[in-house]
Amino acid sequence: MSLFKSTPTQIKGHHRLLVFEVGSKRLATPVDIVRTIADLEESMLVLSSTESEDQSDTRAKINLVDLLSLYFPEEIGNQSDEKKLIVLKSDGTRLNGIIVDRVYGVGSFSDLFPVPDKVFKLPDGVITHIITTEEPWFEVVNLQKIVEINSLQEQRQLNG
Amino acid sequence: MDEIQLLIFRISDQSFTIPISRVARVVDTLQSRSFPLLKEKFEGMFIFENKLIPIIKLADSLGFTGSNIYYTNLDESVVIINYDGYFFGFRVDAIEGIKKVKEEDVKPIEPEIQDLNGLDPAFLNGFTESDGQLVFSVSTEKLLVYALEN
Repeated sequence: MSLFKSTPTQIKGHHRLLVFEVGSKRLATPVDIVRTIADLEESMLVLSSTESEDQSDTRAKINLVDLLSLYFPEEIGNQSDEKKLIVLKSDGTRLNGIIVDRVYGVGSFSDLFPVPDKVFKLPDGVITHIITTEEPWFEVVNLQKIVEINSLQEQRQLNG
Repeated sequence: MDEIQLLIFRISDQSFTIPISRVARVVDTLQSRSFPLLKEKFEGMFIFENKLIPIIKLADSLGFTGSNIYYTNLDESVVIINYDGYFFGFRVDAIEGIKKVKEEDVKPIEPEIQDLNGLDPAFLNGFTESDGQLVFSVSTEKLLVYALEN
């Protein structure tokens, strides 16, 4: 049995992706996992997944994930403009929102290249593809995977 | 005894070999694209036959500090390895050729061999002799495993 997954080949076709920026890093994510995009307001920062649930409060709960501090600590975040929140689709009552510096919009990209196994410092499945049709090349990230990993880490911290 | 074919290449003034059965292609020098989140032992990636191929810093891994590699070098090539379906590449200063040797002529690197020219033995799995010079055999498996797991 091979030690590593075989190198995958290019995926032909057109793919609709939401393009955004964290620090100076341009990234994209499949648009079909995104529920909405919102301005990040200061009041949202008090929410976290570790807070106790108030059953009488019917407002949507948003679990916030700060992509910059999580994976790009060496990057300097957007200081002047307001940050944005990419809210992901969810089956449950609690929503997950990814804090980013800037959202460029949705684009159609052809010819994504899947990344080889284990080449990035991040957990496998976070960076899924590279877009090579634009310069500089940039990464497609799986924001749902990032949320899952972040939730697991928070749970581990809670459990000591 | 079986014969094996080896690709001979050079980094700085030192010659190395790898089994030709692992070589997918040798291509002229290519500019790879770097990504800040790549693991340390990778310099970047480029596209080869519709695949993203990571390029391992072979010279750094072997312990070279002042090789010609990464500087303008018209003879520079990229060797692309197919390791059981996982493709990766590394830069070399020059390709020197192919030679056939008997398996028993590839000798293991015993601890008593002191003259490794400063090379890290972690990525070497043997040597042959050519014109009185030691030609080291690079372990593509050890190189790949180390790069992916560190």
